[in-house]
Amino acid sequence: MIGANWVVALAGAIFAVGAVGVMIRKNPLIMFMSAEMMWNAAALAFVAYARVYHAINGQVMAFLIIGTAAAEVGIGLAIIVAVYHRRHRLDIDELSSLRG
Amino acid sequence: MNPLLWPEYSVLLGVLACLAAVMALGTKRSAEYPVSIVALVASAVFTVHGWSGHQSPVALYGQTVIIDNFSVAVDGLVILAAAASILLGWNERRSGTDFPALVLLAALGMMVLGAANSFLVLFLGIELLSLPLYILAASPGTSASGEAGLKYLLLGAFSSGILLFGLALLYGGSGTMIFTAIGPAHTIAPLVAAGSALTLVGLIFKLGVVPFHMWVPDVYEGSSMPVAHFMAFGTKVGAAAILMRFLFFGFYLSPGVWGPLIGYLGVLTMIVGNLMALPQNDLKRLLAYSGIGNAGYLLIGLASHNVTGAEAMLFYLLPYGFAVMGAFAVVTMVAGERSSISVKDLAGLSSRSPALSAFFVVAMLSLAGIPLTGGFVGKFYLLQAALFANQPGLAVGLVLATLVGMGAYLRPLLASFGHPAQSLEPIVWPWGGALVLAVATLGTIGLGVYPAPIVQIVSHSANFFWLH
Amino acid sequence: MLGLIEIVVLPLMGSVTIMAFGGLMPKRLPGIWASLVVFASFLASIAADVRLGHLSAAHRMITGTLGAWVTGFGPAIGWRLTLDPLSAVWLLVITGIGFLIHVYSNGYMHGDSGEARYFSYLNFFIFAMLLLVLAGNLLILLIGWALVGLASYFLIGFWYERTSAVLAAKKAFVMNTVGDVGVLVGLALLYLRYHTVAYPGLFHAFASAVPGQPFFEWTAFLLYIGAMAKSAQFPLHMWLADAMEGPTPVSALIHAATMVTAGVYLMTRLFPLLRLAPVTHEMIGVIGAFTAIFAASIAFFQQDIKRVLAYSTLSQLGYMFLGVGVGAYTAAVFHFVTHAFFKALLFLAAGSVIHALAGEQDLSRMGGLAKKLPVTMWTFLAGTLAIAGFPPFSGYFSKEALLGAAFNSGHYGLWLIGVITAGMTAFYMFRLFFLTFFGSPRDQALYQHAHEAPLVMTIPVAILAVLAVAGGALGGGLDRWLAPVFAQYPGAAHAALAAGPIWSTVLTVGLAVVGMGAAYWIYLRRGLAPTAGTETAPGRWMRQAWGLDAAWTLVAVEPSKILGDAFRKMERGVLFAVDGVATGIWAWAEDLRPLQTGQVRRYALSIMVGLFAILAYYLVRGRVIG
Repeated sequence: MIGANWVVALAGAIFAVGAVGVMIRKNPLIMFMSAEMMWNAAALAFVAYARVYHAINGQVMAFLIIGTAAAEVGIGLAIIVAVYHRRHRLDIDELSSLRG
Repeated sequence: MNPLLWPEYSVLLGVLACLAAVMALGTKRSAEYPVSIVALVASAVFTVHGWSGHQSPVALYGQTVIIDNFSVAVDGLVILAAAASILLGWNERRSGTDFPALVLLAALGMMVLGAANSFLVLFLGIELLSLPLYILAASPGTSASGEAGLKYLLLGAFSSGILLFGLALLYGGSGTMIFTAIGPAHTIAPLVAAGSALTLVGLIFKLGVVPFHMWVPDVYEGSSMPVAHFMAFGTKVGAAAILMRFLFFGFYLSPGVWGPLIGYLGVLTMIVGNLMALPQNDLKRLLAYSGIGNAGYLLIGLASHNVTGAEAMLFYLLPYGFAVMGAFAVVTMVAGERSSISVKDLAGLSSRSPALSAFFVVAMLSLAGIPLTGGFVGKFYLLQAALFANQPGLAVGLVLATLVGMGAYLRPLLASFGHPAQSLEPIVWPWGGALVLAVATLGTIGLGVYPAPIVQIVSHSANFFWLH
Repeated sequence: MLGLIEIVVLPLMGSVTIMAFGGLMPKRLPGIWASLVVFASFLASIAADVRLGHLSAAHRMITGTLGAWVTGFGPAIGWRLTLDPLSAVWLLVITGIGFLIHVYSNGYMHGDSGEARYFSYLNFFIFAMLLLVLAGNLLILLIGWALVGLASYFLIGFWYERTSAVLAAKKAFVMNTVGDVGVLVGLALLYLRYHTVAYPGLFHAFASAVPGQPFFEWTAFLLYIGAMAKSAQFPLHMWLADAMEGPTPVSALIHAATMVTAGVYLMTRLFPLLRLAPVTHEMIGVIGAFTAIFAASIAFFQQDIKRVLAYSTLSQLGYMFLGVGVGAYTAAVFHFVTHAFFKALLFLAAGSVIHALAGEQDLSRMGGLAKKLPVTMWTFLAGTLAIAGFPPFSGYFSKEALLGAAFNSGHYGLWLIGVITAGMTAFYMFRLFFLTFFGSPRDQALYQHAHEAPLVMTIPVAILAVLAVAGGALGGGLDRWLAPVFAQYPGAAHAALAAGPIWSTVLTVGLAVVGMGAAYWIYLRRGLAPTAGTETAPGRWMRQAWGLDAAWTLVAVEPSKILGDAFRKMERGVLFAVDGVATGIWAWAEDLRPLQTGQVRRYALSIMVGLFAILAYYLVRGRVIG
């Protein structure tokens, strides 16, 4: 049986990878995916702690996160596709007409 | 179905009715706008009905939701914000048929935030608020709507990730998801500390607190006027409400930990917000930075950590909302067919339309905090809260920021009076905008001259006993 | 039955309606409407005072509330109006004399292009002044205090096409703002200490406090600065003479009868605080006496009929503050009442003269007008006798009460200054009287065209003349009327009217007779020109006797000039500094804009940096959390 702390450490690592991904990648799709990784890291941590406390609510939270993430992906991909249609390039740094 | 939740149910039914109308009638003929207003009116009726000065809090669904006077007051504010946005955007051709349904859905999220007492409901509310707003920000209206939507989406997902991980750590540290059950016993301090930090970042991102504010001006500028208005008013209400729930209910025993932090952030935010508002030319951008500055003012109420502070924070949302309504209504009317206008476009407004310019003066003076407007009374209460809490630093910061802010609000005012009119085409008064403007102006002056009735309501809503 | 709220709101309503519809009204209507509104307010004031009189002495107070303005948040500050015997006196004078001056203005301002605007301002002033005196707490008082300043600013600058009027208005505004800040800070100090600004709450707290603490000295001094600016006490007196740029009825109402006495009202109202601040209290009397003699001496050589009256107002205000300073509150209020009568009269009569001479105010172009303006001459004479303190005119009684109180309380120095000033007052007032109405006309053209004012102007003047002659009879009644106010809290043991020694009276009246005789001798018998005073022998004698040129220049005029310059420089400096700071802040904000790069990844980085800062904060501070 693996201790909860190890699971949370793994979740932390995934979270860090996701966060770094958002900051260094230039493709909005990858950035979005990195953000979703942060969500999944949180879901994993919830499940791990739910096991520690023998409680169901952490697992419920994990399901809620997965469901919401799916909805968010639906919206996010639509927005990204719409932007791609207009510009035919996907470089987030070029999207900086709004500034100042 | 719980009778206490009828304000929320009405809005939800309104969303379903709007979607049904879209499906039944197609995009040619539309009934969504009247339907959404009917839903909001129904919700308002239930809210007023549910209001009572002495009702004791009711916990529902295993304590995850608390219906009390505070949640009812938040419902009222959210309904006002949503109704004003829908009235301002009442134009199927420009705003689209989805607009009312999405506004209602986001409003539902804000109402959920006002009643949240658990991590689960908190997250639900935040996402219910955010997802429709991503769509609204990205919907075509301005030339940069795609950029605005994408920026909001990416940063929103990023901050939600931080929020979620923070909640997970808090859950791990305290063993509970209920705010009011987070106690000193059975806690693992480092986990709770780290979790609090991450959660707080996720929440104040929504409020637009420096240094998490950068999305605000870009997204407002890229959105259409009614959407920017809804974000400026509604989102602030929801975010302020959940911050109060989270900190005042979950961490009321440790104000010494988070109080100073919120105080620093508040002073930083109001100074930076008002400062950055000074050189802006785009009016939506200017109002966005003004919104950031006002987020800083709101944090003063939180940092004071006393009853006066809680009441002042809740109160301030109303004059702020009225001023935002007035300013956006005027800007929308002046813009006419355009999607955004700059300070220069206001030139000669006083001669083009004296009435409109008078309304604009009221809104701007209220934002600047001139006496006899609601904005002054609100700032006065915040100042009082800071002084009662023995936090002169906060008070000084508030006064300084207000002075800077006056400069920022003076510029559009001077522009509207000073120069000769750039265009002489008459300004069209859509009835929705006129209604919003009338309510906003009456409210602003009413709050400035005779705030007592609202103060009564607020003092019954935010009078959390453990703060005494 | 009209209540307190209506008394205050009526003039505001008049002001707003005239402002909004003045352009649509027929020519005469704004003036008539404004006068009617003030008359209604006057009747309501009488009714309220009668009701007040029926209450038992211990509970003689009527309160009107528009609901609590601020409730729930900490200590309540009410939108509350209070009528007690003290404010009742002011109420009657403001509405009563205000009404007469409104009526007079119908004649005086007739034909002016800004007639409607004038009456709107005048009504607004009445509203603000009523708010000031009926305020139930210091915050409402401060609102009224600032609003009367604003009204005065508008009315001084009424003829805005004249540069001098605009400058005078600006000067008045700047000096009054100094005072407003004083009141504001004093109020804030009291609020922070006692968590209330309502009079009863504060006074109860004062009653049990120990006198002499620095806190009380400071708050009293700050509030006194407000009174000093509003009532033009040295060294904040300079704006009042310039304020004569406004229309003459305005000078009568605002800059003589009512607004400038707001400082006296405030100090009298706050007598329980003055008990706690003995140093400040003493200073009030000293500065008052100094202002009295200082202004009287300036009045000696003035060539402008209104400026003489302006300096005499300063001087009489000095008397009132002298009374406040020696604790003779009733006498100060009494003098306020009689002064309102005779100074309003003098200004209105002077207005009739100016009106008759087509706007001429220079004494050197008047003379011999008694034949042309008999009514004005007789009424002016009544006012002159009253201000000079000849028995049995009203000014005699109130001035005697003041000087008697000064003597009885052992302030012999102040008493002596007061007595000397009484003689000086008689001299410069009769100089003015003789030069205007007697001798030979110095400008035949003006003299030929002079004509008596219409009835709408002479009747208010005549009524005021009757009051100025007989007003002294009010003394006893006023004493009984005000006694309950001063009996309520400690600090006004010597408030009641009391007579001084008989020889003091004889001396004062004797000096007044000498003053009158000197004026008669110099300007009628010798027939000297108004400009005389530097070349002729009597002029030199006076200069030597009073050391006017040298001493006053050295002691007062030069420093006040320097102070005035300093104020100007300060104003300019502040403007410059504000400008500089604003430019700097602007540049700074512009420099910050590039930080907002528009790039999402930078924004995410900023969020991350903020996150680490907050995380670090929490891990350091957050050892105990729950």
